[in-house]
Amino acid sequence: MSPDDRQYSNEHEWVRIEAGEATIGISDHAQDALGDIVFLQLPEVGQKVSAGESCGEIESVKSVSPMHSPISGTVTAVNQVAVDTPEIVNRDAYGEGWLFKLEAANASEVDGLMTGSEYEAFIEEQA
Amino acid sequence: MSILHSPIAGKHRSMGARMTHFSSWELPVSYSTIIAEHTAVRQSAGLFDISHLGRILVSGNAAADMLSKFVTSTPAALPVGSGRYTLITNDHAGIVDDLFIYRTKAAEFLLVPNASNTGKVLELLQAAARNATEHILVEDKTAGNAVFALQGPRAPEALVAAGGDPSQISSRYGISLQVLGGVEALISRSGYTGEDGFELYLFSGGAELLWDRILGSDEPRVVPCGLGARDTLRLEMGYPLWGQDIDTSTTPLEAGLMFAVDLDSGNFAGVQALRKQKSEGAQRKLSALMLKAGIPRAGCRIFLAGGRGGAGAEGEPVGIVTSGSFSPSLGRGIALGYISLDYASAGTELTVDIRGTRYPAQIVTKPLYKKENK
Repeated sequence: MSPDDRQYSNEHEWVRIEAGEATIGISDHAQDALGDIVFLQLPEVGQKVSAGESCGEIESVKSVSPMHSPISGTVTAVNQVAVDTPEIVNRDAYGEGWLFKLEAANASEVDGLMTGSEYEAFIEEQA
Repeated sequence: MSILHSPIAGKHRSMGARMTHFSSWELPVSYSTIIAEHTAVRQSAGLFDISHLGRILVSGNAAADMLSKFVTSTPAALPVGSGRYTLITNDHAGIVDDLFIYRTKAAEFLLVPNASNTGKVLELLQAAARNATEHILVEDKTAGNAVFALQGPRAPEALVAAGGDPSQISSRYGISLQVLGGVEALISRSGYTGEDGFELYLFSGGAELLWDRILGSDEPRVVPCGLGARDTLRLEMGYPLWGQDIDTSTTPLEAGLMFAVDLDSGNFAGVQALRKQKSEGAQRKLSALMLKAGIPRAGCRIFLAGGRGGAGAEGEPVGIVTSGSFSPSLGRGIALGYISLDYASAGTELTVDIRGTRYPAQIVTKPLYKKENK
């Protein structure tokens, strides 16, 4: 089940905002579809990212996928543990497999994203 | 173009396999993860459904002679009950297909072409059979028949557990007919992984039964494996994949496959062109590359160390990657690619351009994964 404490984009990423800080990751569905993740290229701290634009790469054994941010903002932290052991994103996409944190540029951007149940329905449709 | 399904497609579904389309076939990429399946084959035993491969039976007293006009090895020299990796080339010595040929009876040969070339190879052989003076039968035995690959250091034990007898096929590329739990299978000691193993050809049904029987083994445990692991395993061995590393624009000499060619005695299409190329020397060579960081992919350009270009033009690439991936056993990126002959020796330091970033690489001898790595 997709956790309800966060919002989801149609690129299979999630964002969870707590005390003004946004944490971004990929969904469990995404990690499953990608397969074994072997390399992460994350944006840099201080980098400005725009919603929906590519800001990095997630590489699995078989292929490379662009990494997007569901919302715009300035990167405040990246998950070095995930960079060092990318398999953590497969193991715990919603917890320890978070990718980066942002200072959101425009908090209302999350309104355009999906809830957990909306995302579940979205995945169903795609299947 | 309609999608083709394996005779055990229902099994893949019920096992929750992640599916993909490969050469008009719907096949499993993985059942669990590519890395877990790859590791199981290197350490224990894995079972693959490879029912997309072509199976063509050619029989008749003139079959060996007819086949010698197409395959680069010598069918007449194959002992009964054995097989060999071989190639079919065109008049320019370009590789039309790489395949296995088994002599199942004195006057019967089983050819196992790539899925993507089965139609082409069938046409070539059927046309030749039509023009032959003696009767030759060419039968397509692909549809509805399953082939499995059981691979890994514990594959012989797994075959015994399923009711088979590895001692009947004690050496590589031997082939024998066996009955495993009531299911008849032509079993060869062969594979595309670099490990010991078997390929099981079923022509009388029982595919689902045999699949379950082999996977039902507790000791050793046999892990179901998909195309994802099949690709990482073969790449670690430096085995080419037709359509990526070899095709009609590459010759056996360029691809390092002359061991599959009986050049002096051959009378196959392209033999003259190949002899000519051998005397003049090839211009490029299919080489194995190992990287420390970065995962090379097909199409990545290759430069000299430090990003320098090759002789003749400032900054020009000296080669191109044809297959690239992450190697689960080595924990790094590896590739096969064509390199200009001047720079194609083992030990040469090169640079691979991966989506705009240059990564150091080194040419290594094959196989990239060596048994000492265990």
